[in-house]
Amino acid sequence: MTDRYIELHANSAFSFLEGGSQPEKLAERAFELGIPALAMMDRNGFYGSARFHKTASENGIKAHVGAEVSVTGLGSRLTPPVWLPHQHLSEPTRLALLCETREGYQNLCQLITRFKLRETTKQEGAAKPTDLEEYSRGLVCLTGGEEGPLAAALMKDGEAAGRAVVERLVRTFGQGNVYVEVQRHRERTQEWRNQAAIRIAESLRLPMLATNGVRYATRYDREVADLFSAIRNHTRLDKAGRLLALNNQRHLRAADKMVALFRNVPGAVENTVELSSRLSFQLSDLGYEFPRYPVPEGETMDSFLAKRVAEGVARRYGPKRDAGLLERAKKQVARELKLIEKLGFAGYFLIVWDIVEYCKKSGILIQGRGSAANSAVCYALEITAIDPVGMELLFERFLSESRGEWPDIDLDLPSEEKREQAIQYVYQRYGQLGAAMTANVITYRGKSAAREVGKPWASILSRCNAYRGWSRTTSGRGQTIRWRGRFRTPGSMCSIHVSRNTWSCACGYRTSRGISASIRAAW
Amino acid sequence: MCGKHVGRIAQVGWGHDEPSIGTLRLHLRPELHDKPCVVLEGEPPTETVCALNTRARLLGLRRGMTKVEVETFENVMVLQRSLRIEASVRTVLLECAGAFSPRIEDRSVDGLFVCMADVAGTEGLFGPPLMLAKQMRQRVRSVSIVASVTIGSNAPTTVRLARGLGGGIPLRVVPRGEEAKALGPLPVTVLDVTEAQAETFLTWGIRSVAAVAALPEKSLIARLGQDAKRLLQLAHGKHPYLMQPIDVPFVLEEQAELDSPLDDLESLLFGLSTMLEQLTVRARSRVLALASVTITLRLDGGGSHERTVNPRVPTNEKKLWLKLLQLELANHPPNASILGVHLYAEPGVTSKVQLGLFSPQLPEPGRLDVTLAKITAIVGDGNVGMAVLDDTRRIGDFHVEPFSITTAEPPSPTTTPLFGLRLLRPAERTRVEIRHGQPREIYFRSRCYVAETVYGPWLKGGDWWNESIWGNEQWDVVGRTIDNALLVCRLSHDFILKDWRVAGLYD
Repeated sequence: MTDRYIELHANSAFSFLEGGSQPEKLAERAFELGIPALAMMDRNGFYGSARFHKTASENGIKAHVGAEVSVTGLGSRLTPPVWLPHQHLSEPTRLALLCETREGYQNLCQLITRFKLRETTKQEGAAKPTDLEEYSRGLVCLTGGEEGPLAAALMKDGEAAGRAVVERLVRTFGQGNVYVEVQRHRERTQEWRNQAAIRIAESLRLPMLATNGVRYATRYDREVADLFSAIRNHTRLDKAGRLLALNNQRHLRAADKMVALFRNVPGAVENTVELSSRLSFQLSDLGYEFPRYPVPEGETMDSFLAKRVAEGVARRYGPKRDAGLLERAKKQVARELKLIEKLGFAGYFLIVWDIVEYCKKSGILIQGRGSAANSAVCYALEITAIDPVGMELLFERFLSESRGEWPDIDLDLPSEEKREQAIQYVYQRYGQLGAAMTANVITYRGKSAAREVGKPWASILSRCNAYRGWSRTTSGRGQTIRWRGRFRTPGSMCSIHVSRNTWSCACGYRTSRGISASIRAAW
Repeated sequence: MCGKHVGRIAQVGWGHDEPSIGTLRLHLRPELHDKPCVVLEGEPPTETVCALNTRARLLGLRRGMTKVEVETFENVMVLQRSLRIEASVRTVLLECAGAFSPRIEDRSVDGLFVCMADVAGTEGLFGPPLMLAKQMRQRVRSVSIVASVTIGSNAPTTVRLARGLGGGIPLRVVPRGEEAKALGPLPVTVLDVTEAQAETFLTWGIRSVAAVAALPEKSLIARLGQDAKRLLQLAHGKHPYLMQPIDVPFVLEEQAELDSPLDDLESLLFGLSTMLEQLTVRARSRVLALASVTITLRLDGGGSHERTVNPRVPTNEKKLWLKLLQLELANHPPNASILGVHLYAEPGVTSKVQLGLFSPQLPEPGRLDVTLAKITAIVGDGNVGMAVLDDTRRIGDFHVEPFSITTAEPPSPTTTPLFGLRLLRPAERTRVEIRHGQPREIYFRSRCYVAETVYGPWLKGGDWWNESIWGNEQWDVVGRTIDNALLVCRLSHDFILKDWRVAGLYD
């Protein structure tokens, strides 16, 4: 493993229909190439960060957190000149921001939340310059690639405008927190911009930073990215024209390749290592604390919980008149309480207990379900109705220190007014900023992914239908292997192309499966 | 209703018993107007005459005669009935009526084309009723059909008079209140009587409409029933009628079936001339011109051959259209004998493009079209027009679009390049020696250049989803020969075809 280069600007497929690889694949590829750390910066969100962090951690890779944030007031994204035929639509530029500290992560979360709350149409929100100024602490700003404000200013109004944009970023984020980013994808105009960026960095005494603006793990995934571009722009592959990538250079590169590529830009590659060492924040360092439950004077949450559980044990097991069972229940409860105290979850259990108590007092049917039924504490608190001691259920299925996971207690509530009454209680008891509703975002599954990926092909829709058939018949684990075997067997020249297309289609299908976004809305 | 509220109804029909089918069939055959013609219908060998023109009738031919009987007459032109042609000509006639009123109704019966138009309130536009009738007749005549026109205030009366039952008067205006007088001499059968009623009238000795009108209403109803009231109203010219206007689509279409398979395009043009004239007359009547004409030839063997001609500006010049069609068909001849012709035209506005007052005089659009068509015939389709860049990353991809007149200035790139790049078209093939992944020696125009400075490669690739997959890298190279000759060029390496070329020279 080498630490000569860190990729600090990568987009996953969670940059919806822009990135061509799943976060896990990027992490695995980084591991293969010996890259010790990787920063994922998806468009206007952290959607893939958790998955990326998990896989990166398993592979011993440091997962930096960041996001590309759309910003108004810094011009529009780069598009081909007007005298060339193209279908590009005007979009605000995106600022690449990395979280240096936990405060930076919190600020970036709040920044994104703020403009998302303002947006009237999906994917059209953008942060205002005043938002940036307010939430700039703890963030490191890169000037970005072709989606960034520097490229846009350079191409629109020349070097002076580019310098003005960078100066503005410096004023917002501070002298030491702005890096002038250079990418080399073997494009002529990009090289012209790079030379201008180098001059600007020198004149403003800003550090250079080499990145590859990664959009996919390997060069072959460019085809998937092209496919997604076509879907995003509601067009067919053969009609997409300049919407598609110029070449396949936006993949993860090994350190030696990047060093060779940027050998004439002193410090650009070295600065990636230096910046990576500065970025101390990772998702494992969220510092999250479960909310505290208000307890009476002289009590701690743990002691208060122990008393409520003891009362519950007497209430639950007393009437059963089984001394042995009661003894075992007390032992189990003591063991669980010890673990809860150790992991600091007492407040969480008390809050759930509080909600259950309220519902019972208010005549609202409520029932805990799922793995929480394995907990004697939950049974004693009357969160669940199954006796885990009597039924000899395994507590570790619910909570285990070795798993390093947080407890998850699901409560079933009746729909309509009663449910709303319980929600209102939670809002009033814990405050509007202390309670939130979450919602699942649908993800692609076999058939829907195949259908959407098939649209840009148009002429091979019949093949897409065939996929749908396969997705039904090959839902097992061997699916990938079977596909590889089927599509990578070249025959004549024509069949080589067919198999190549089919392979890309299959890759797009597989990449799009599980992406948390609603493509149907886009269509 | 029509009579009372509308005031006047015009009927367009044919003179006395001249068959409408024959007229429709002869629509595009003006050369046959002076010859005795009959139209046969039915399956061979039981074909019978369903229509004939006046000259044929004068020879003694009658409807219902068999083909064998017709063949006993000399110099009689025999045509087969074509429902498709009749339908298209019916549309043309409705369109003619539509030029005088938006409210028209097709009242064709028994192979006779009758159209009713509500012309109330058109005096200001077309003058008094007689003048209107003349214009209507003239209009129908312009599409080579003879018609009789009757104008009146009671629809059933007018229809009966226009159907020629009154003696084939080509133009007739029936003043309000004189309907009964006009109908009076006609036979009782024009009142659509049943067989039983006709027999009853015959036994009573009543043969004319006037005689029916003179009968007392109550006595007649007592003998013939309630239908007698309708008969009396018809006879008095007071039968009410509710007009049901139709919407006639404006379709510029002409169709002709050839008597025998045709191989000679020159002969075809003769027929096309008539068809184009009809189209232009119809377009002109709506202050439109023909923007494009699609000709579909029905070929021997069941195939068809379709070509479309699009001049720069819409025009109604028949000669120009003929010339363009001739060139198009000469350029793309049909591969079998022609059995039928179908013309379909798209209408366009006749407005001219306004150029500057002091702009130089441009050649006539028609002449330009003919010239372009001639050039197309030489260089082929898709090679005449203006080059337009394609929306693709591949360098040099363009397509040819037809010329169009634009007054807007073309946008120009804002940046001024420091160097001038002279692109070589086509790029010149060269041989390149590679060292350490970079061009080292270039053999160009019989000389060997050693690369001093190399920039690149610039990579491009696309169309990976089909057979036209492409990919190339470009290098900017400064090279010198042994005798110090300088070469600053752009090298292009197609790594699909493994081909090196000098794509351009820097000045």
